[in-house]
Amino acid sequence: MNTAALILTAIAATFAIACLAAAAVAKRRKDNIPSSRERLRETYLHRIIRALDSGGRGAGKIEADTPRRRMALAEAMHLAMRHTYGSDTSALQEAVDRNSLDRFLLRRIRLSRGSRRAYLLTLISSVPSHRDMASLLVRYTRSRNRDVRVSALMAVMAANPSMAVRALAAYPYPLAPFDTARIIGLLRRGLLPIAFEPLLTNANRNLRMLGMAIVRNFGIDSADKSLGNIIASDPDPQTVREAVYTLASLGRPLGRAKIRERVADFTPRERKELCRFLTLAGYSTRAIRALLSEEESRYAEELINSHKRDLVCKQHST
Amino acid sequence: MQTAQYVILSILAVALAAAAVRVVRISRAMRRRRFLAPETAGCCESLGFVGISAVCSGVNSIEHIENLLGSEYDRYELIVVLDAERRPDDFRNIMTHYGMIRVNTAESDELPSARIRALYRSRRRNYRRLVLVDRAYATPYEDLDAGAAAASYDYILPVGPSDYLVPDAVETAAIAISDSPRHVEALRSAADAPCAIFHRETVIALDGFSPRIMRRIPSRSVTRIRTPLVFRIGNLRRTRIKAWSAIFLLLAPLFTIEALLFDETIVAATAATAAALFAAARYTAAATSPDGCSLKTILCYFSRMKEFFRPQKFTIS
Amino acid sequence: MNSGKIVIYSRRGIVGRMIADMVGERGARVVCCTSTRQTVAACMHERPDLVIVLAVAPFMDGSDFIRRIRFDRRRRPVVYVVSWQHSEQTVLSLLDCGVDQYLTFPLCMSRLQRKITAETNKSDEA
Repeated sequence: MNTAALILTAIAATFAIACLAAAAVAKRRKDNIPSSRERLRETYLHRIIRALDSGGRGAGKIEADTPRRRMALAEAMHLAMRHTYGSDTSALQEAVDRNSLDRFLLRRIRLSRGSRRAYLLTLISSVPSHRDMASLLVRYTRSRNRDVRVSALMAVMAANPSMAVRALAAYPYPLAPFDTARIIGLLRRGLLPIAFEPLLTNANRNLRMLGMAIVRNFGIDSADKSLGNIIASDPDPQTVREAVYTLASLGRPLGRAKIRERVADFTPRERKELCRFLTLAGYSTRAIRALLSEEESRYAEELINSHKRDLVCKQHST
Repeated sequence: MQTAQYVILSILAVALAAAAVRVVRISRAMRRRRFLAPETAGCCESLGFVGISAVCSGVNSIEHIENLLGSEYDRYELIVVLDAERRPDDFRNIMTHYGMIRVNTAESDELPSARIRALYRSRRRNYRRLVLVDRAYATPYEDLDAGAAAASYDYILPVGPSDYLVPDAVETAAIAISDSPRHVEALRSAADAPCAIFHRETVIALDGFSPRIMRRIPSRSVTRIRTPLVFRIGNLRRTRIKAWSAIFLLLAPLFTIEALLFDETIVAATAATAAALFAAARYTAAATSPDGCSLKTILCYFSRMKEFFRPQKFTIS
Repeated sequence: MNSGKIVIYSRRGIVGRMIADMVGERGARVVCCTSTRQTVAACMHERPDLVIVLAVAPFMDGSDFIRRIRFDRRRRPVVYVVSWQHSEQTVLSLLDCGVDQYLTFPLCMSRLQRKITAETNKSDEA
């Protein structure tokens, strides 16, 4: 009995000390007190910005000789690459080569798991690396952890942009909207080509979804026909729904017979959601009536009216 | 006596294990949140077209509204439900501050308890996310119904008078909803300040908000997240008194009985476990709550224990 | 080279300091802030030529942020907003409430620097 009680006491005391230490770290983080690695990251960030600004000339060599420094350098590179585009990254490529940053990250990725691995994969997607890196990262796209596999997919696409579409087509899981948004982030940085048409006509669901996300994000009006084809013939209701919403977000006409037919197959809840979306997108009652039932159109009319000034009760307004 | 000692040790071990599991889950969730936070900032638009309407009952100060309007997520609106006759000054203040004008409103067929007296929107484009609803106050649930009736988006986030949004709360909720492979009827944040987001059509199907709403939604349709969406600013003195009284009422008799009946190793094990639970609460508060008040977390433990025996009602504080 | 004063607001301090590194290379004096209150105080103290806000929410929440950073009518700082949002409504809202320039992330560094140099030169001439 005494032994069991003593073991429990020891475990509880160790757990308490660990929790208090973790609480102290969490508090420092919340109070925005930078850790030494964060300070180091900032120093590297300053040098990276100078290197990007001068096109690699006169920025000096970026050295990172310890694992801690390499990690800080990778984080600084990620931050800079995520928020900028169009700069000459030859100085960064040189820094990566000199410090074997990609190999270092790859080793760390191998040794870590969960969110940590996903984070490291996100870092490697921003580090200018060689094309052979893509083949080394492919195996992580089959991970059970969603964050890991999406980050790995991004890293593969960034490492070898010419293989991006193939990598995405080979990705065995359906992409969620947040995953697509993260890939769009790569596109916005100019790391991937924005050829939306082959994506929209592709048989792969993920590619079609990405194509539609590109159309929405870059406001491509000319995608009308391809979206119409998806609505008319795609067997996946989720893709059809996405195509209808994409057309609506571009403000295109929705009264075509094919669209009406597919929208009629939506569940009542989905139709109501669409009705609300169309109202907020600025569609008129007439346009909505052409697509939805009389009752749903009445609801849309009420919603539209609720954005119009009440002229009868002027005395209440300021 | 031996059996009693074994029972006590088993209870302590279970409590310690539960605290450890909770700490691990929270630390994982917070690590994921930290990793995703910069990514979230980049996707403040069009996450599966998920839109969230925050509906507040009892919120009447400009400062509070400023916090609730401080989200960067694009498909988000704030609906403030207030009784213009009961709180004329607050109502006038909001009207003037945000340049609100009265807009058309119709009787809601979907939620008969809504009974909206008047609806106001801002004439300024940058405050287009704010909607002011005037209705005679009866219960917070009816206020929420009125807000849901006026909502333009699909998901309703009920907000009480002491609820403030944590940074990136709306984005976190939108990601959780859009990522779910199933249709999400409700999203529940199981953090220290529990809060839930409901699909508007689910609310309508269940005849509006009520204390039993959460129990009436099948648990397979409820998505759970461990990161907090709101934090509560309450009376800290009252929280302290409540928490310390609860701790005293639980620990004092326990230690007394143990000291009288058992040897000191059992007392030491109990003390160490209590210290570990305190430390776990301290970590949880430091990691998840902006004010870092560990006593609130301890009170949350007690309410969870109560919830184990009797399902809790849905309330907004 | 000019010596304008710039105040940068970003909730994430490191992003603000990164933008400060980008624009500070041109010789401007840059102050970084992580809260709106700090930004308003910095504007009162520094009287900047340019305020760069890396968020949209302060203009949408009713805190009268833009009026507070332009408290001095004789020396009206130019306000740039940089954010990830690119919806038309957001851009129009910001322009409506007096923002001078809206840019989206990711930024082209040289473009940002050219814009800021032109802006600070303009205020030097004035």
